[in-house]
Amino acid sequence: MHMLSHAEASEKFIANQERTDWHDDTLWFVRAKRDKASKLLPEWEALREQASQIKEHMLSNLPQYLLEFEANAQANGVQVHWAKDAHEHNEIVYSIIQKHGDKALVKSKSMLTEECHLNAYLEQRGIDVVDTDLGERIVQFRKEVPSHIVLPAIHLKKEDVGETFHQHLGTPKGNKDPQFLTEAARIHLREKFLEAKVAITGVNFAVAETGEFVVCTNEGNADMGAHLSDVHIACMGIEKIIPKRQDLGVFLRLLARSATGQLITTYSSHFAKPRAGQEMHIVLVDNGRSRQLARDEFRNSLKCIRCAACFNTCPVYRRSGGHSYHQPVAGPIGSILAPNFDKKANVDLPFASTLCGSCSNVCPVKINIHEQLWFWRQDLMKEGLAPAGKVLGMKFMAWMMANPTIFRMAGGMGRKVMNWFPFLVNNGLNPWYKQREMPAPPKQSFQEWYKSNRL
Amino acid sequence: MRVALFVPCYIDQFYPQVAIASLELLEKLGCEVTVPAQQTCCGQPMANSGFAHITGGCDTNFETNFSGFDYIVGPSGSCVLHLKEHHPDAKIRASVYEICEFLVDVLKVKSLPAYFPHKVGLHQSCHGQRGLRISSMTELNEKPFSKLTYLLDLVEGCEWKYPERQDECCGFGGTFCVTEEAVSVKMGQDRIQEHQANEVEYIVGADTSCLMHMEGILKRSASNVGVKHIVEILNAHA
Amino acid sequence: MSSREEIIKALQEVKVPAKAYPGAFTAQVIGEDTLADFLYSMQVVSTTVIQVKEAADASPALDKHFPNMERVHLNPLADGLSLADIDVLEIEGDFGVAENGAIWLDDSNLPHRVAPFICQHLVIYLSQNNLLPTLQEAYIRLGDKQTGFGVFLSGPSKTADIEQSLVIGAHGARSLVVVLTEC
Repeated sequence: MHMLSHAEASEKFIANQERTDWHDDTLWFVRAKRDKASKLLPEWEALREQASQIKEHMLSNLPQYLLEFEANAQANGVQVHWAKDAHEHNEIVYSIIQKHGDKALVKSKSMLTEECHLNAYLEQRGIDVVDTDLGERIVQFRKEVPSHIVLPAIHLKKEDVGETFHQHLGTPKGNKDPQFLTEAARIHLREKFLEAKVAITGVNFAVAETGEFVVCTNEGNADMGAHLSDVHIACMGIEKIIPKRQDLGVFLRLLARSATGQLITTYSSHFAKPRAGQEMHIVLVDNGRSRQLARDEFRNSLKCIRCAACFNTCPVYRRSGGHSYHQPVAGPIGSILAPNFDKKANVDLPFASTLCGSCSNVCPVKINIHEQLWFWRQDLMKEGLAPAGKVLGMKFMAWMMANPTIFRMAGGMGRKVMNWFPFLVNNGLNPWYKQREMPAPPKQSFQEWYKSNRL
Repeated sequence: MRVALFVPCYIDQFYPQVAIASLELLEKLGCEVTVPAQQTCCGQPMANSGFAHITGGCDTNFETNFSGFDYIVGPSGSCVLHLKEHHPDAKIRASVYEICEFLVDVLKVKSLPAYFPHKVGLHQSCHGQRGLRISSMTELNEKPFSKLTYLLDLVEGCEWKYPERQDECCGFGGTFCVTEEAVSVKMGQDRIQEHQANEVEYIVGADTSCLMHMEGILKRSASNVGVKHIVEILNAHA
Repeated sequence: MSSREEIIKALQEVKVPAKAYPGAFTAQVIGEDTLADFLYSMQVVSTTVIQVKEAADASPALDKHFPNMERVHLNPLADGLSLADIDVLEIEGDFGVAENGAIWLDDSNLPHRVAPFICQHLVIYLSQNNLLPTLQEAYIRLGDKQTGFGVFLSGPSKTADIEQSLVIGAHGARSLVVVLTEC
């Protein structure tokens, strides 16, 4: 199957203008709430700087902190596992489930398990995975993937959800009331929570000093799953470590304000020890993170706390939808993480940006996202991943611009045929011309005017 | 004060009036302005497309043309930002200025003999704004300021308005405008709609590339809203 | 070599320039009035506050708020599952945070961890002497207290996953009442 490039998928998304406008306006509203929440804190910019420095410090001492975390977690009675890659992560999770002989589990949101395609892996082995975040349950019913890491079903309208619930939960056809549909999901998922013996959660922060980890939700689904289960498996990327408990004061002040403009998520749950009779597991996953750590330009992408503020502010994301990024993590941050996994398959993503820089400004841990997009472009083109035509065009342009005489000559003709500038070819095939006019060609270039008027 | 006027390639070819206004304005303010004749391009279109590794010839040509001046001044935030961030020569990087920041920060302009009795919508081009910090940014918790509105306020008769989303990108983005045509145009249309809601006569900014993109969309819809580079207004005569 | 050793080795081989730990962050107190800030945050997170002199004084207000509903003050309950049938659960909160309405609960307040999540409605008793301005003071207060499980809880459970329409009462409690006592 041909996977659509970001540009191709975006064009299809935008074809439905009304929905595109709704998507854009809705996410812009989330960004506006984030602005408001951040401006209520006089120390906002200092907090971002603090968070950034803590994360940079963590990245410069990652193996030590991982070992400290492991020792403390083990002392707390938690079993710690290490996975080099997605496959090993999935195997570990499956083996824990198998040990308990269960066929069903509840899972709260974890972008890491999306990254590892855990659901597909377990389903192939006969395990019924129930995503319990409302948005994730909706997209799971529809056999889709989340289009946003914080708002997984933001690409859908309530009519879509109503129809999906009608098919899967037997709600009345045509009922699209969010309150009613949420209640239906509450009843449906309560049953699953009460039955499940195994619960999987993600991890927002793991504290080296105490061995505890923090999971944030608004719905309470992570807690319902974890506290009712006999086995709690928490899956985390190795970059989720923070040195001290007091650092949580910094990160939790930033996370929800950045994500949705909330003061804090409803639940910020700190898991240290299993409750009596319960098993608690933590799976620490590398899956390319040590490779990214070694790339000087891209190391800082590992500071990410998955708040999605960069999604909500991105004018391209808002108008192209998460699925156009064909990766579990979409948006600007996804575009700098994805090439680390597969350069060729994700060569389009660093170009799915105007480099406007808004993403870097909203980032609560000050990742220079737009600069990293620029660096990935250089890296990918140097590796020869550009289409041949683009290489030729760029080489021609670079040659012309290095030769003023040729530039003047080409310009003289160019204002009539306009074929010297890569995006200003005046023919029906040029995408510029599809929905835009060309600039009216002046009689004289500035240099010609200068020569005749000033010299 | 010896100032070299940097005229980005597409301004030279398609928007000579912007370069002429820049030249006249700088001279009016007492600068001794040179226009290096063999200048071409800053290299940004190639670099932002991932081809910074082949812009050596461009960089050398720029250096040949622009060495030895006190200041290099150009009417394009994005070209200037590219030079400031990526040109190999430190002296070039340190002496290049976008024209509005040059007027405010170096010339410390307090008044202008300008008259432009029109209502304009201000477009904040991202590279000038976020890259060069020509104005404060809505994402940050910082005191609002703008070198562009400071200058527009010196122009008699000129009324300016921000669009509802004060600093959202117009979607030009260099080659993005053709490689991601659908998103690019949609972004441009959305900016224009907000300016039109403010009933402005012109969309004004400090980066001609953004204006070229929006002008293309405006013309296709036969709109009577025009575009102008801010220097054309700052240089407008009574 | 185990995956653990491989990962640690791979990370150790990367030469990351040293970055110092920035030290503790001191929060700026937002408002002058911690109580007023807390009450404002409670409003933002859709929580009803009943202000009384002492805990027992809240009964009439709670009766009115939860008519014909059984209220259970949480004594050690063995079975987490039986909590699902409780209409209104009453528990003690440790301390509250003014800037965001978060209230700290941990194993020492919770005979069963799932209690504040699985009940239909939740009542938390909190002394107004235990209010802190920001989350940063809250972590200082928490210090190195060892606890198996603890949660900052701010408001009733909620979701906006359908068209960003806010719905109160997702998987956790459908409503939260905070009884704020003077002593």
